[in-house]
Amino acid sequence: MNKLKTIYASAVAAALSIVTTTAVTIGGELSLPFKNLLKSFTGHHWITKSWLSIIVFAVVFVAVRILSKKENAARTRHAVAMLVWLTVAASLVLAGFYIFEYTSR
Amino acid sequence: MLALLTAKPILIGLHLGFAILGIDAFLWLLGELVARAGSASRRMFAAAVGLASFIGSWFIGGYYYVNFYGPLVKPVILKGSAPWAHAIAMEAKEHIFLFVVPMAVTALLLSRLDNAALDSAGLRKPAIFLAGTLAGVGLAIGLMGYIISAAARWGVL
Repeated sequence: MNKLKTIYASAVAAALSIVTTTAVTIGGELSLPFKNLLKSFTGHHWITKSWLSIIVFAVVFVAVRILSKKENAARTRHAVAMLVWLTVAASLVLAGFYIFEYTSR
Repeated sequence: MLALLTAKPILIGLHLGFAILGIDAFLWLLGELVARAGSASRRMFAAAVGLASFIGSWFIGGYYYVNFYGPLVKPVILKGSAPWAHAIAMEAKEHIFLFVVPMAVTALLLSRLDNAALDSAGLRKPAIFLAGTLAGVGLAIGLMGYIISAAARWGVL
């Protein structure tokens, strides 16, 4: 079943896309030159982050899909579970960061 | 026609409408998974509708955000009674939204498995959590959108 390899690749790619988006977002808030650099690519920092999330997802998906040699149900299960927890954690980190940033002004 | 479609109230309506459709589709997928009901093709249809809807909401919302929200709405909120609605809710919303499409692609790929494959690989429970998280994140983003809209309205008054 190649479907499991594809699901595994997608879960890993989505997880790395989320980590990248979170890191780049917080990095941009902490460093104005970095935010300006993001803005310089597309004219708006959010459009650059949108493209970055797609590019990271696509590149990691293709790489992991090609490099995955064997079907592994346990590995796929853990990758999807990790994606769920990572999404919740990254959402809380971003919300918490903006709450902290606003309240500490 | 283009002028009508790019009118601000229409853009907001389409952004919200696609988001609601996406949330509903992943709630449907969640129900299919929990009930062990239906064929893989029905799950795939629900996930595909959800993914397409979230992509539609992303593009339309992004166009509105870049062209209208930043120059017109954000200054009103920041000068109003709840500037935190932009500083917290909008900032979190616009970035958490970027998590949704990669997750939805994974949910679509998971929905290709039939019931036997889902159970034998032990993927039913993770798939349920993924579909539920997609709907939950969508609803949380919707709540933040409501806060932002309310702050903008009260910022004007």
